[in-house]
Amino acid sequence: MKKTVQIIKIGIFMGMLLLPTLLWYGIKFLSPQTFQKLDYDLGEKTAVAFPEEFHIETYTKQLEAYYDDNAPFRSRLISLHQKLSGALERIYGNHLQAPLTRLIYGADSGDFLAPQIVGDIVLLGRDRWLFYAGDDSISYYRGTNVLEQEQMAYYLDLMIQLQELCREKEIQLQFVILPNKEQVYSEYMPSYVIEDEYRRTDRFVDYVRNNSDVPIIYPLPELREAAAQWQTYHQYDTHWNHAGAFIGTQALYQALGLPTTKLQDLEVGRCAATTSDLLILGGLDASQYPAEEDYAIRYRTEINLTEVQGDLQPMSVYTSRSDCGNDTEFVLIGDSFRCFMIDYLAKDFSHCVISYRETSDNSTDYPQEVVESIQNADILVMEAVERYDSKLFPAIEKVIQILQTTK
Amino acid sequence: MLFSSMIFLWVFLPFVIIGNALLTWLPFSAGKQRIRYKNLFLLVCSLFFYAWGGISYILIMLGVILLDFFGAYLLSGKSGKSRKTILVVTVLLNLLILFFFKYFNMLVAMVETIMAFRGNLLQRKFLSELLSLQGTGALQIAKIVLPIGISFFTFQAMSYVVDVYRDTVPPQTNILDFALYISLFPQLIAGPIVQYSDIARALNHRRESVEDFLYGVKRFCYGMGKKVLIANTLGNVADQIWALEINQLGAALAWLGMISYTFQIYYDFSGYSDMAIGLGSMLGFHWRENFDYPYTSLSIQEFWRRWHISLSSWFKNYVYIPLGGNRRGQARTCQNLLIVFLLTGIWHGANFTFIIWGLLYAVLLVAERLFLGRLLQKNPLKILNWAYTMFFVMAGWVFFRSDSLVVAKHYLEQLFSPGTSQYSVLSYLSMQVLLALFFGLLGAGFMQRTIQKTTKIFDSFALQMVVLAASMLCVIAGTYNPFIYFQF
Repeated sequence: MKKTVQIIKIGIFMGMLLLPTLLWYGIKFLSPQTFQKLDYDLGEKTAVAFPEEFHIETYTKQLEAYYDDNAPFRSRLISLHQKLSGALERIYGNHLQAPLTRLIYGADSGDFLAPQIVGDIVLLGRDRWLFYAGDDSISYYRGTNVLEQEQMAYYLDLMIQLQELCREKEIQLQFVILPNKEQVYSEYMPSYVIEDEYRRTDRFVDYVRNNSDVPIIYPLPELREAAAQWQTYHQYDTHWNHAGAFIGTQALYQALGLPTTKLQDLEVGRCAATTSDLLILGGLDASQYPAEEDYAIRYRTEINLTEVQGDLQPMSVYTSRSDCGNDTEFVLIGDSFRCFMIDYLAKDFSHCVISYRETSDNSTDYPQEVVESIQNADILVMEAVERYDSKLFPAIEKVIQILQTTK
Repeated sequence: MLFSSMIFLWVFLPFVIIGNALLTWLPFSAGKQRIRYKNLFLLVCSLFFYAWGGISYILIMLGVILLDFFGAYLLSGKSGKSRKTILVVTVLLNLLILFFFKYFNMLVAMVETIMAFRGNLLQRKFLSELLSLQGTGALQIAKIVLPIGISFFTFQAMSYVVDVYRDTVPPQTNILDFALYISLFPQLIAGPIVQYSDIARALNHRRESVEDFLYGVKRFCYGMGKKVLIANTLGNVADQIWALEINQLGAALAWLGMISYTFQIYYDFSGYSDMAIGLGSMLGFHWRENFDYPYTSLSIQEFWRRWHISLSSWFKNYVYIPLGGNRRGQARTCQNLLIVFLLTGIWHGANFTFIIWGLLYAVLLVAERLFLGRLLQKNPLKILNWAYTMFFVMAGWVFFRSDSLVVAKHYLEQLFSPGTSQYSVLSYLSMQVLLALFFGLLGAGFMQRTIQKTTKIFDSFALQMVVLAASMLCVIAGTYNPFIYFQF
């Protein structure tokens, strides 16, 4: 009897090691449909390909990466892990965090919420708001990463160079720095010591305005004001939503001297939010977070779009023509925030080219269609969210090169 | 290949277990022939396991195998001076290999710094630059990548040659068996450092049993849990804290970082040792324990009897005793301790931090030998002995973990810094961290040493499987690589 129990135990142990693989390939072979359901996409980077070429130093690493990416029941197990760790952290949040805060900071700790980062880069805010803690975002919020005078002078010099070139070519130029979500929704941020209320972007924008006539906007006041009436950024994503993008676009139009529209004058419906990256990155169990909504804004429905190319993916080039009749070549070089503006820009300009600032193949040049559009632009907008402000300047250098070579 | 990887757990390990079992059970050969096949099978698997971490490194290991096999072979036929010469040459060649791969980068960085400060060696900055081991890149020498496990397998190989020289073991006549001793995958990467005498018999006469296999399963599961569930969780906390501005940590966070690292290093290392002992047991090898609840020690001397026992034994047998041990008076004993712990520090890594770490222990051990030991013995409040031991052990880990002596100094200052910090301890706490700290404390030996019955809980097979399943879940979750949309 004892021997039998021992053999069963060994069988269970071996089952833990072997069964996942046997079952996985069994299901794949016998029921491809079930297999597809089990092997669902977790919203990851591109799948790791089987290493075709043999390089002695890297082959085994590539092979292991391939195995890890295709391990049996991987998606299910990762989801299960997220569920379990989410459940554990809920226990902590509901029962332990407050007593620990009182213990450490005393009975009058008030609304103190210690910053807690999960998944290395996701900051847990108040009322289930999530923030991005990567790329030094928190320093922008705390005011600890202000630019040196020399850096600001260097950046302004580049901006002035581009401005002069645009003047020569009769292109209306506009720089846009968009606020990080933390600046707009600071009331949901955990307790941080703010070192300096006069932060990096405020200082830089003032520096540009005080030392040049380079057109630059930083629509933080507009977005904050609008946030009283509309939610302007996603709760589980670091981007603005369609309302935020609308407010930002109107701030851009105002700076360009174009007519603006008030959001309350439009028909605004609700729809499901399409992005929740911070939940994924934080390894958080999405089922424990109420579904988020976005706005469906009916904007200039009478305008028809023609010749739409590209898509709203972050690294794509989007081009469109519309029958709005203003015969304006509009070019925007920016980051992923631009994707939410496309719905409005495409309706307001007869020809739009909206491109990612770092070309998709990482080459030094933009695709020919973007180069030609910059050369023929009537309006050129250079956009960056503030945490990636430094990435704006290599893009400016590229555009300078393009315009310098224009006959 | 790491034990805590999916490819090991779901591909390599079942393949080895099934292969070994088939060679045990299948009636195609008997007796010695069967064990020859099993050794060959394990050797091929072990070489594959090692090659997985870098195919070219296997040449280094094969070089060490050939060097020590033939070194011992030559020793066996010689006597007198030539015998000693062969031993010295073999050991020196082993040390040369180890030093080249482990310390060459350090040497280059030091030479570069000296070159950069030529004529200004008295500058204060020179010392800090030298200690940081950053170098200047002036010599344009490519960095040497440290082959995995080289510190362990060179020490095993040297112990074999010395034992043959001392006639405590007969030389191995089969190079494949010797290669298996050096490369056997359970202990290849992180020890324990198995002495040849402990494995010699098992190479030719071992028998696997169901009891041994289940004991191996138990050790493997708990080892995996220690590594994945406790060490990795607390390691993440320690990494985050050590990545902050050290001067700004504040006392509370500095203590949390130090305690987290103290648990991380113990559970990581002892977890690996448990897994190695467990895997060995499944395959019919029985190795000595490498850890014996070191954090329950009441003196530094006791700590070193319980921490990394295989390394302490190695230094004791091959350095401390040959130097005279404690048989030549107090002064000589202290000198020997100093040498042994200086070497222990150097063995652990190519940085001045490890040297200071080793010397710290040497000084404490000398103090205990001279006067402190007696005071500790007479002290009725044993908890004070424990507090003294753990404080210095943890302070030692600060040197061990820091990138440079400057960082270590600042970190230790923060432990007693008054005032508040811009960072909050709460930022680094979560349910998983609290659980890891709780079980870390519980599993460090206090419970096991005081209440014998508690050890029976760990015999529960169901608990072992739960720990294994939870560890697998964490390992597979670690492969998750989400698409970071907003980096664009």
